[in-house]
Amino acid sequence: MKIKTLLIANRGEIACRIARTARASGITPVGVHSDADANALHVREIGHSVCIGGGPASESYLKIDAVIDAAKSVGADAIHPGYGFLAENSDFARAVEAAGMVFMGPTPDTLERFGDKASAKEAAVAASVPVISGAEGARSDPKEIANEVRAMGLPVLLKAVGGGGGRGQRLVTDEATLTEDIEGALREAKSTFGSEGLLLERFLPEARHVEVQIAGDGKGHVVHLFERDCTLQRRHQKVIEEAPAWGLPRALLDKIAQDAVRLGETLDYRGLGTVEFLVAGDEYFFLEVNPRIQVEHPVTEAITGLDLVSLHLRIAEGTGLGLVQDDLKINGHAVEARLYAEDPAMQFAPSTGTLTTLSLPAGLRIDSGVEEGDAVTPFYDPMIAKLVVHAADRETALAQLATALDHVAVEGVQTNRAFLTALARNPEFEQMQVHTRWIDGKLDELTQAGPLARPELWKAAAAILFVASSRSEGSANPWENRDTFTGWRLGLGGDVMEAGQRVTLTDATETSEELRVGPIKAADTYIVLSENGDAVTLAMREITPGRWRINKGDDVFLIDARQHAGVIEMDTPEGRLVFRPAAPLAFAGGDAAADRAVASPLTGMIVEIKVADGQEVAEGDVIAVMESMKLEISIRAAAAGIASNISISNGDMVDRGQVIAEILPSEE
Amino acid sequence: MTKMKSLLDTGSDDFRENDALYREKVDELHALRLTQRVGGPEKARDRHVEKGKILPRERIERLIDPGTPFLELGELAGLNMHKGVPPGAGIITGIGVIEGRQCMIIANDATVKGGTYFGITCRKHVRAQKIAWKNRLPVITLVDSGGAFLPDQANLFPDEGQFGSIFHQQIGMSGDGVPQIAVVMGPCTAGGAYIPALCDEVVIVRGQGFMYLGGPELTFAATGEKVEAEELGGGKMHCSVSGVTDHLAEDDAHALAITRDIVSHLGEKPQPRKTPTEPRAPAYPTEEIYGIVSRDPKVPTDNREIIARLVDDSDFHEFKPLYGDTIMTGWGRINGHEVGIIANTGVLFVEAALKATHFINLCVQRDIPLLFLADVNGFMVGREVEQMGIAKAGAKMITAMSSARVPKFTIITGGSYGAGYLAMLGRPFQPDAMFAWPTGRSAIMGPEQAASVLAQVRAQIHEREGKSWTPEDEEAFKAPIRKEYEDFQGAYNFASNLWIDSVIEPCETRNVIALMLDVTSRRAKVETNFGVFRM
Repeated sequence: MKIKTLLIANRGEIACRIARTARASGITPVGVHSDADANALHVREIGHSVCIGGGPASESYLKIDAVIDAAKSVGADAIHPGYGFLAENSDFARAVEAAGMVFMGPTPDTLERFGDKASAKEAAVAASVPVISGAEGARSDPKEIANEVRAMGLPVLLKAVGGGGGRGQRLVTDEATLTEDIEGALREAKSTFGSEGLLLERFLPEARHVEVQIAGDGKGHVVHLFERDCTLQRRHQKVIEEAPAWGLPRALLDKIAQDAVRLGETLDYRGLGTVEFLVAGDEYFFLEVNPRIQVEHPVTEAITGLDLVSLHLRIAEGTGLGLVQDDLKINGHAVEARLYAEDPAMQFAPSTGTLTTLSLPAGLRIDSGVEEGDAVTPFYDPMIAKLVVHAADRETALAQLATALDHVAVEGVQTNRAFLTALARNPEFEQMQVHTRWIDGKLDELTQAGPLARPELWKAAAAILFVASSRSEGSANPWENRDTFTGWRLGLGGDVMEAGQRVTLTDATETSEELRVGPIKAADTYIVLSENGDAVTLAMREITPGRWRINKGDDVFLIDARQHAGVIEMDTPEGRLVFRPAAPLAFAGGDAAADRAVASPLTGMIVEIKVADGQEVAEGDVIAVMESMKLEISIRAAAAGIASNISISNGDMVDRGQVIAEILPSEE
Repeated sequence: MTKMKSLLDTGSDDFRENDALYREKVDELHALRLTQRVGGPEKARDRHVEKGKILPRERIERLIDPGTPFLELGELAGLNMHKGVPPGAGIITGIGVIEGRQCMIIANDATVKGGTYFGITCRKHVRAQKIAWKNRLPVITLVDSGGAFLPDQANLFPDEGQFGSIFHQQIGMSGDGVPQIAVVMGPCTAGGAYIPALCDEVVIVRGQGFMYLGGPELTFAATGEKVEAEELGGGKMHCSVSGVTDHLAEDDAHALAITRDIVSHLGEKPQPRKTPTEPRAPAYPTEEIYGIVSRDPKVPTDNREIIARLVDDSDFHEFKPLYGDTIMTGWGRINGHEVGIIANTGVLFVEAALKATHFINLCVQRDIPLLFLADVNGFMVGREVEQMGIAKAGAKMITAMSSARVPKFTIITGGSYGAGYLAMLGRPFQPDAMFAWPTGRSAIMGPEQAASVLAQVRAQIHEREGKSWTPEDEEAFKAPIRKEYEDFQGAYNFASNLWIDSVIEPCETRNVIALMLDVTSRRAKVETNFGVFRM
């Protein structure tokens, strides 16, 4: 059956990515969105989208009825769930099929089987796929669990039934905390996943994560599209993924792949799936099956030359895989990095806000669900983009990835860019001397940005750009002409720096410096003085709009630069750098020194005192309520601090302007 | 287009000697400016900064848009006039761009005698106001002044053009709709309090700016009332109780930020009425002017070569090149702005005066600004020219020059004497701006001429009285006169007395004039009504 209209029940980059292939296959894609996503990129890019509810996913993207209704309303004949949200929900798959549409994923039964850790493990055992030794089935009695853990020997992983993707897992490494850990894990399993049970698993401390991409036609024909290595994880979240797995014997990888295919075959697997394994030495163990398209599927596409969504569409249309295992070859090496809006300084907590700057490099595959000016909301996964490089060998691919990451600039939210760059250049990772918990032990080292070779040059250039960009080149208005009038003063023949413009720049490390930019008579030449008195002399000229030529001595650099949304962004040979100039007169102090006296606005009677002497108050908090002119009037604190010197009591008459209390600065 | 062809020999000894001498003069100018930029004595500056205040030049630097020019005016006013007062007279005035709008900025320098007003300080303030008024530039006054410098009261108190004129001008300007903003950054007592009080919007710095007609001491002396400065005239009081000021700032930087905000809400910005072309450098280096200006007053300067180094691409459309060849008239562009230039190439004859009259008339007709390059000994004398009616011709030129209401500017480039000084748009004819090069000089007559004329008078007296004097006596008589005229005629004396707005050097000329041409191009056209031309 040829699909004509495909409803994409997802958002962000994956919705955009599915739509692109759909369109290329002659299928009309239709999207869905929540209120919060009304202007999201996937809505703009897909072109037709149906609003299915409110911002929280539970009110929209997770609402089965709403999605089915949307699909019906546009006459869709198939639904692609993407990843996350409803992708692995068997009820949803059933509802789609019941509504007479094609669900682009495995059968509801398969989803059910893999949705549960214990039954997934059973399926693996049934297909003779090695699993990690552990207790068979789920356990919920803490004592029984403790005994079994002791019998297995530490470390042991406690996994909530129904958990996944690293969530609901707890590692027990110490006998002393065993009881506590078991109780905590049980509690969490119940509260987070609504499940009573825990799976116990031998923990492999230094394993690699290798997963096999499989595709099945639902009639027993299953192929694998080789493996991906996703060993770089931070707290079980994949950070950098690659294909193929480097440094492991091909024979071992073939064996793993064959196991994955066999598992698929035993279930007449339909659609795309990923069978995840842990590899330790020459042993490997089944972890779980992700019965859907994966975030990291582009690396597989890169090395196989296949379009996985297109392949999936074929399967959904019932025309079979259209290929056999022998057709597939590995070509080169691909690496993907996930750029997230998250703050490395805050334990990688999601960082929300508007992407005032989003500059991504050219020359590689980038799957992104946002554009500059879009918002990262607290409702959804804060991924900004996936950067995918493909080269002849791994070394080159990693170098390309590092360079590409250098040329990423994001402002408005914090990102893990520096962290990814540090990983891409890490010598241990280069040699694959890593395991799934390696990052967690090296976090401090990996979140430090590498030093630039010429920091003072770029900072000076940014200062000149800031001064020059308030002028325009060749303007006949001498007050804004860049060539002859930058910072012009009478008597520049004297001390050039006398008229030097002060520019305060803050760099990516949040370091601020006040520089002075002095123009020189020679065309386009400037002296920039740093705070410690070092002078840099540069000639800078805009050769085409946004492109600048910098001469420093005999060195010539060409950079792209723009100034927008309060930042100066420069794409230099050393990467894309962002500096925030302080507005000429930004008043940072705000009203910090503002009135600390709390005065009565009218003459009247105090009827209630709301705070006690010494109490901490926020700006705008009510200090007292008075009655005057038949009105009840709240007297508020104009600043945050400690309420002090309260000079009134209930029933007191106060005059207009009388000070009734003071707000002293909090001690910190 | 007509590209001027220079015949200058830059390898000649003459050029080299002129050049060397001029460079010394330029160095002298820069050195003088540096003494002015520093402000008051180090101790006063340190105290100023210790109080958390920003020095006045930095205040201006922070007030204007980053990287934009600041065209300072009257920077050498009061040079060598009062002991302990560096040139500038304790006040900085100039045009700068704030939030994209040109403004006149007037800033007291509290490090110079507490920012007090001398007579010359008042005149400099008034001059800045006049330029602002004529060009409708918002005036931003950064007030930080102790008021009048009492010993100088004769020069600042009673007369027009003195302290009181600041208020009178403020009110007149305000009536004409010119915005005025004051930033009270120090105490303003008595008369000083009226400068901000007469402004549209006033910013005051908490704990630093005070305004009262009588300070705490005077109040106590007069009425026996004991009151703290803050309660009497502090920022909080004035912003919340008296309403004398409008915006309360926490410090200097905050006050300047508020001021920029105020300027961003002054309504539509005036646009230039002219469409300049793309600026181009002169075909010959402007710096060569150093070697062209004659170092010897007896040897005339070839001003044709100077124009070739001032106008864009050395492109100059000369008017009546063959007629009245002791004056040169024509049109060129300076940084893209069209301007009519009148330059002396000799003594003013009848034809020259008529040609200048015709040319001024054309510029008025075409609404093109005028630039006078003054370097003239005066009008020709003698029977022949008197019978040709040189008095009539000179009157025509002066009438045209005086009547013209297009923007007009003067630069004294060489010696500009007597009626020649006046006819070449002297200060009494109210040029929009008037400058002199370091080589500029002006007086009723040249030093040698003055000495000779007075010696002649003395000789006639001697003759009447039957006395005789030797050539040595005569020289002893002439020397002090010569010296007096030498001292008087210099560009720095003119700058010190504010008879010109600034001394600028040849290489700054294009920039200064371009900035002024742009400023003046943003005011409405004014119709010219010529006075009667004696025919």
